[in-house]
Amino acid sequence: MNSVSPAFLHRFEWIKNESAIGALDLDWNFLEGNIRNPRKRLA
Amino acid sequence: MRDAQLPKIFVGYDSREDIAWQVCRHSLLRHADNALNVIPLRQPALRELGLYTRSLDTGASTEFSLTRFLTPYLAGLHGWVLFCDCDFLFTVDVRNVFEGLDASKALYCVQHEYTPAQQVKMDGKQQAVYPRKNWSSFMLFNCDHPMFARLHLRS
Repeated sequence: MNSVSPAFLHRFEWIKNESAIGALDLDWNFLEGNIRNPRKRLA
Repeated sequence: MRDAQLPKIFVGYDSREDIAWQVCRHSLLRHADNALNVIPLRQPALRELGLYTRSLDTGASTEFSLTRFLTPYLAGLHGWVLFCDCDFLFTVDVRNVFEGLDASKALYCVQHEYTPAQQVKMDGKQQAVYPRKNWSSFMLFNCDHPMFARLHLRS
């Protein structure tokens, strides 16, 4: 962990099997103003 | 008093964004009946403990850019543990994210298809674009997954 490249870590290249990465609902990591709004949100 | 059985949430801490950490922690606890262990990931402390040994990275936009990947170790390689950036504002009970998880997964995250709207991010740092961008800002680790037994602090 202390020697591999930042990209290796951030791109999850350390997870060899893609099916081991589970998907969460977008609401758990909603980027304000940066990605398309999946639906109208109340303030 | 901290209860070891409570869900653990590690939050990336940046000394330039102390207020963000405070707001994040407050929003976590207020929606979860204070029944969480919310722990800041502070780089100087991790260095002092010898867990983080990289040289200072001037290209990193935050102090927790890479320390976040220590999260499974800090959780004792046991159970499910959440990491999030300090600029998260929780509007619901985070304990819900620990429900209905599949033990065959090593990690859960939101899988954005992401193209940044801005080319420059915090404090004028250049916005980097790469595959799986932002996936690592909210990671739910399954520390019991066999994959983590193969990861080491030092190669």
